Amino acid sequence: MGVTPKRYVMFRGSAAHRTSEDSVVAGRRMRIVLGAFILWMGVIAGRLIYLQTSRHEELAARARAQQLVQIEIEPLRGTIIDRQGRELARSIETDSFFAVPEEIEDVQTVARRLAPLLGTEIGALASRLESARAEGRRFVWLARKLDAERAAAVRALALRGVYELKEPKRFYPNGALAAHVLGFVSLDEEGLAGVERFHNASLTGEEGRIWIERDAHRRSYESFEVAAREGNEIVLTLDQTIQHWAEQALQEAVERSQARAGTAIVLDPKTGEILALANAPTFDPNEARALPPDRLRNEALQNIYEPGSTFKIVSFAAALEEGLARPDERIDCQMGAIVVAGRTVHDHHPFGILTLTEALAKSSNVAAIKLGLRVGSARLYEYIRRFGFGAKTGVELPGETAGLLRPVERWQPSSIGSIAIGQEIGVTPLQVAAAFAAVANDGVRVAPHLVREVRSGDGAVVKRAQPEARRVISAETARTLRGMLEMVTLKGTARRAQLDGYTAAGKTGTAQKVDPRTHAYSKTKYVASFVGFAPASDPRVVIIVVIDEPRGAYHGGEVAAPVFREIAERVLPYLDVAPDVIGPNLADQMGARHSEARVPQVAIERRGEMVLAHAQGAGFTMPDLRGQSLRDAARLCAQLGLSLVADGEGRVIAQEPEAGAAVRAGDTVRVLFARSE
Amino acid sequence: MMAAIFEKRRYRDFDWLLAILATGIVLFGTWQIYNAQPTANYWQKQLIGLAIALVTMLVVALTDYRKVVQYAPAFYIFGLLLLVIVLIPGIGLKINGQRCWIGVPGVGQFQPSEFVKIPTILMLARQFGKPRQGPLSWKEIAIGIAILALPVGLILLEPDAGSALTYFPLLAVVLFLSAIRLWIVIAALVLGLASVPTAYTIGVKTGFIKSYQQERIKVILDPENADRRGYGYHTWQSILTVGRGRVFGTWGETEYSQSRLKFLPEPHTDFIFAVTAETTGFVGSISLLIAYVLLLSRLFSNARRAPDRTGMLVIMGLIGGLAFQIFINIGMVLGLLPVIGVPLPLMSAGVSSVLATFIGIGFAISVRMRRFVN
Repeated sequence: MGVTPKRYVMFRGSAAHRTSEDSVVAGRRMRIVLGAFILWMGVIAGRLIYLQTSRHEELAARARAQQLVQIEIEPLRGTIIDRQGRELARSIETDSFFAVPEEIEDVQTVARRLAPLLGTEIGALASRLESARAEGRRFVWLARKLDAERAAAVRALALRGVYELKEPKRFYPNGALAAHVLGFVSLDEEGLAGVERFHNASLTGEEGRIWIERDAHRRSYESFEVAAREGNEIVLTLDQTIQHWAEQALQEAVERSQARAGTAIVLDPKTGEILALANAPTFDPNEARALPPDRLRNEALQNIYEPGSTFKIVSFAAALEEGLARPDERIDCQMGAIVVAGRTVHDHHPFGILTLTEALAKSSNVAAIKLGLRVGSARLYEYIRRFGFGAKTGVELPGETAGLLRPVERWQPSSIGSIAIGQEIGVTPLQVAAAFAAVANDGVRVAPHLVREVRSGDGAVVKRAQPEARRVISAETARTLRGMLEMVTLKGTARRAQLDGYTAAGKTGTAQKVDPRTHAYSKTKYVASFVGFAPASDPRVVIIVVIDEPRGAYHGGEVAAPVFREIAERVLPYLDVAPDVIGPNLADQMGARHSEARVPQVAIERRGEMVLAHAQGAGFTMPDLRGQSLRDAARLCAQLGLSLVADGEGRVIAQEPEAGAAVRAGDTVRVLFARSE
Repeated sequence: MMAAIFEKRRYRDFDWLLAILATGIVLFGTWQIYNAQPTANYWQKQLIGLAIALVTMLVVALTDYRKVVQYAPAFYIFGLLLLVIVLIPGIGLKINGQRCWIGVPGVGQFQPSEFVKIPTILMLARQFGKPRQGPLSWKEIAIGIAILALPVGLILLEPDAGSALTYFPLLAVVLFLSAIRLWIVIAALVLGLASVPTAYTIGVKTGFIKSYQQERIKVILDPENADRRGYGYHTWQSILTVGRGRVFGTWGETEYSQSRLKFLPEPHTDFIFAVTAETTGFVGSISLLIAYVLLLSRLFSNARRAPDRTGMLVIMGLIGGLAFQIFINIGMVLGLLPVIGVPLPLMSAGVSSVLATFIGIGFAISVRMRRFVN
């Protein structure tokens, strides 16, 4: 068949049989071509190994990043509740509106229709939209966190290019209640003051993320979500009811005395828990952002004042604890004058020889200085520090000051004569309250604090308050001091602090303010204070009332002590403290109470209430909430100490319990809101 | 009797290995086309194309290539005619600014530039296939260049620079194997290598090379720092896709598939190798490369066993064309070469490309089957 094996062999490449030089060249060159190709394959393999192993992680991550759109979800900010679980601050979903400028057809029309609803000017809104469109921006806020009614109106316009977005808004259902404790937040829900700021990180929670798989044309496919972790719930030591009473009493006192400002703190001496912390004037944290900063100052821990006579408790405590004095010891008050290092200090009234108890009750400066001199500067300083002065209390609020206390090395020779009676020293109301709480708590000072618990979104306790407790003086000395302080209310400068049904103890203070212009003590500006506790034998509450620059009467016993009484008389029954005084009034029996101390009508009312309180346990009748707005209903319930559970929006149409039913503070009221169309 | 023996011999001598390798690569490619565009019907079209290609290959294989080579000028002129026709608006379809498709009513469309390679190879083989001694003369070289220049010129009018480029190795291989003087080869290589940077520098200085063209070259020199949203986009996305594959690939996981999410451009055609690297990883990619090496080796062995120089040149021209396309395409996918629209033979979706390649393989088989004849 014409097969030529020779040719076959020849072409197989054995050079000896080749006849054609051309074929030899072709064979060799074919191998070069193949070799070059195999070399290229090696390069490809190397490149593949490089890209698919050593660069894999990085490249895969980058591919993933371009395929996923990440949307952040803001977590709902945690609530702040009082010790009984009543809401003091919570976040609600509100509607915000934004515009996509390029989608708006006619800016003028949109501006004309929107501006009245948003409360802005048509021209301003139009120019804002125009400039945004000119800059090619794709997002312009129109209005943020609108209330439901206005949001509905904007929504009803159904304007092209105007979009809606849900944003959480902080809401303080009780308005101004506990404003200085709670603080407030920025438009972006960041705590700017108070607990909101101090515990901002905890309240904020962790933002969640939604990942959306998208293609190169930005079409979205599957999505998955990492849920936001809700902010923690902060349980305060405050009791909303007590807070309300404290604020009310303080506000009235500040108005009555036309004072510049005032502070009242109610402290549980055994636990260090602050039950109420009130400042006047106060503010509504719902609208706090518009206020000048000085209105937002928390005087309870930022106001440094000279404590005056209330500070004498330190001198007396030191002398008693050191065994340098006895309560029944007689001391010569030198008819109201004592010279310390060349400086003469006077009493407000010339006293002769008094027992120490009487000297404290009558607030003799001479006696206090004498005790201070007995103790000596170094030891007095040590006691001052032990009682917690010159250091921050550590309460969970921003901006606390340590006060002004010079180290003993820098005291002047005459300093002890001033410091023993509460001058030349700056303290905060909270420091004084904590010092008295140490006396009330058998000599153990428990650090005052505001936060009971921090709970996670699912209710688990994340953190529980563990206040530092340390002994300041012996229980014996503390008991002795309490007995002496009780006499202040019975026979001394604070008779207006006497309570119906309860024994009380405390100390008044009336300090002249230093005039910032002359650097001398002012003759017209005083800080009137009273700090006390009740019942005297087993104190359940320590209350400090500081009234700054009262007009007219300026003595602590006149201005501050009645506020103490007003608060204590409501708080003690509320806390189910058994009365320890029998009969209508101990003071009446002793005939020592000024009849003008109370307006009779008020007294009767209060008595009636007290009786009712004993009979029903702080009960009252349920008011009719129907027709009220959420805010009004919330405010009213807060004032009554009722916990509100609201459903719906608009006006109240139904409530439970019904109007007229007997309720007590702490009860829960369910209210249904609806819109009247 | 004779016919029976003949048939039997034909069956025995048929290059099954070559046919199976080529078919296997197309089937593997069809799977990748499915991975790249599962919702489109490209993979089904590819299967139909494979069926047509197999039948065509069989017909070509059973035809004596020497007869076909005799009529090469006729095929060549017919091919040139097609390349002219495609330029006529109305007949030639314009896609992405290139008029390189001819629509055939009821059948679909085909790309003449893919098919004209075959008559070009045949024409070159005919020209240089005569038994010869000594180096090529300048006249012979000029004739070779002329045979190439006609189709390349027409294709550049479409304009389809990528396709035009794939014609050059056909001539290069034929000249190289036709004992062109080695100094000319070396001179051409040196000149080529030197002229590129020189031309680039001069081009930039004179403003002949536009800034976007410079940008494209930068993409190759440093793809990771080039503009990833602009000219570097294709290269960068391709590198990302390859990198995702790791050793064993993603095996059709739908999540984050670069091609399914359309980040990878042209995933079923020019960038099919990136899809392969993503879904089958290093193992799959290397397997594919080995399959190509086996295919080319088999073609190579067929070339060496060819009964005559013509047959050898036909197969070597085919090898040159295939190897060059594989070289360019994979280099582009891996970011080693610039983005040039060259399909990966047997892998990329496209009936024209598959059919043309199988016709070439049909010739290779035809040559092998006639190795003992004469």
